[in-house]
Amino acid sequence: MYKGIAASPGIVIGPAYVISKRAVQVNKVELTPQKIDAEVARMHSAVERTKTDIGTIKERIVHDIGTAEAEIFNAYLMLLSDPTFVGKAEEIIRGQLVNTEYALHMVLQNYAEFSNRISDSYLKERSRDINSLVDKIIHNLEESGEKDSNAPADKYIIIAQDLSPADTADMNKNSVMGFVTEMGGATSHTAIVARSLELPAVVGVRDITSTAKTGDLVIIDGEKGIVVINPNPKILAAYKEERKKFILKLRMLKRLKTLDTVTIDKHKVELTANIEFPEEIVVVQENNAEGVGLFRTEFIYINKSNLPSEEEQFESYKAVVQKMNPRPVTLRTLDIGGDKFLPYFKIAPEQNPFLGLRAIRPTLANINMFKLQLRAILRSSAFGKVKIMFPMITVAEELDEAKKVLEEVKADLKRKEVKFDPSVKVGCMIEVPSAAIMADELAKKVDFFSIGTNDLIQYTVAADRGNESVSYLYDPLNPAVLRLIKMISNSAHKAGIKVSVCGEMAGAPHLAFLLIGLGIDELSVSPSSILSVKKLIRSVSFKDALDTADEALREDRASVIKDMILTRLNQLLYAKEKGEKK
Amino acid sequence: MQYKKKVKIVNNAGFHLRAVAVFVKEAEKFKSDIKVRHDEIEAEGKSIMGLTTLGAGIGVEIEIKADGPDAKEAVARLSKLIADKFGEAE
Repeated sequence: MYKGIAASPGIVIGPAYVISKRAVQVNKVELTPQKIDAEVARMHSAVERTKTDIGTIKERIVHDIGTAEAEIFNAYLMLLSDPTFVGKAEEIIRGQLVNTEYALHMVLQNYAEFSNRISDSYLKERSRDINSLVDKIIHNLEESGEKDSNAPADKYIIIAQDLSPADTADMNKNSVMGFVTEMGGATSHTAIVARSLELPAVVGVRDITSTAKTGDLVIIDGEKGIVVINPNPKILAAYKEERKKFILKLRMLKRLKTLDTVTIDKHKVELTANIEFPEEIVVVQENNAEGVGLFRTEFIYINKSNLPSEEEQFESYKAVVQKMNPRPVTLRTLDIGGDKFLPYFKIAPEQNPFLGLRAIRPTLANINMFKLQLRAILRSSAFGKVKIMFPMITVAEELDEAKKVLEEVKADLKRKEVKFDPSVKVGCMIEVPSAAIMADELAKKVDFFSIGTNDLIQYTVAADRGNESVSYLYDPLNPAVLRLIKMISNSAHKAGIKVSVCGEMAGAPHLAFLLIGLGIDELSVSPSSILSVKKLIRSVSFKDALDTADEALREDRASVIKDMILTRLNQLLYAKEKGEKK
Repeated sequence: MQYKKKVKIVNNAGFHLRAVAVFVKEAEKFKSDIKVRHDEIEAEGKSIMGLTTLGAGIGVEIEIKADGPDAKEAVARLSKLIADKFGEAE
């Protein structure tokens, strides 16, 4: 059993097709002059086939993800039409009387010599793109371009070190069941393509190509990030059962896509998605979320050597806002410190980083950086419905200050006649007990609240959940936490504003049930949890949720509360099922 | 007409395949003959293969040369493209 990064959900069982680093073996074949014209024609038709393949995937990516992500395929197409590439190969075939494979290989070698001069490691890495393109052409030469002779069966699971964008061009959904790669993360190109094709995938599995062999039976669990090679009968049987369940669940959930998120007694709950990268919008839309409840903007700052420009930020925000329009996108301003740092923005070492300069604190200490981001966010508001949210407000002064800066930026944009939405909604995150306790006062200053349960729990029980010796304290059902949530929602409603929960708590169905009962108006969950949370909301009544929450608030132990909720939910869902059968 | 200009590469990924493709697309809009030089190596400005082999990463200075009726405009537009990081959101 191997553990990797869950890149695309789903469970699939099938034979492995291991693609090793350079699967294409090139032999030099000398040809007689009479055969040369035919050989050149053979190359050109393979190049044309490759163009068609790449054109197809390009269209799909443009359609599913976006024009920018498809740029690389344009580059491939141009390369295939470049006279110094194909023309050079033809020159070699004619001049040296050799086969296409060898000629292409020579071109590649020539290119590799150049690449070796490249000192830039990123560029060097990129030169692999061209290798894989040559592989594609050679692949298209070998057969009539239809079936892969190395494939173990009609349908298989691809196991590779890495899949380049060109490799994905080959992915025929009818034969590829899923894939596993050694490289890549949840937001790598491979993962994005997998999700857009709805193929289960696990990435970042070390050394898998050296252990798995073509023909081995493989199980991919794309939800947990697990890969099993040649499972024993017991595991295999268990996973077959899991796959059945998964397919059933998927079918059921897909039916929910177009249905509204309301309880049995027609209480409306807003169901939105948390995202970190613009690419995730595909999954958000796929699951028909009602908006983006939390767009973490850190992605644009992290892994950079210097502060991203206003233009760069604007373009990223705009892409998401435009795609979601008219549905709202809540952008949270930069939330660093704690365990997230930026190389170009130094925070002096702290004894207690989680009690130090983090979230809104470093932001308010660097007004120029803050203004830059606010300008970019405000400009994006001209392209859809934007909400702005400040993270980890602890005292009223911070909120006043953040709002003051926002007004200054707005006034400046107005002066310069830059377009933005003047009525953009402003909210703050409630994730510190001091803010929860003062929520009635803070509520007068904002248009909405969003509760970050992860931090609220950790700061309420004073325990780091990553620390095993105290993680028993970190419990979303801690009664003090529940009372705080109730307090926040009461304060919000008294002031006439809405309150959402965007922590992990909202994504677990039984906790979502409790949150609705505590008066939460909106749940913002990971894009892949949307439908399962919707399913729960549509199966319960608001009245039951309220009663259960009331009961929970009277208990003094997390464990008792948990049992109580699960029992109640079981009864309710069971009763509903019975009712449906009648 | 002949024009040339030195430009510094500012995008993180440098003159990689995708960026080069954007560059070539722009270069093809001009009638002028366009060349790009990095150190002692010169490449055809309208050839994706040639430009990729320049190996110009971030921080590298390259020279754009254009020769033809629209040389001035070509150099201006292409150097702006490089300064704008090839229009990529990084």
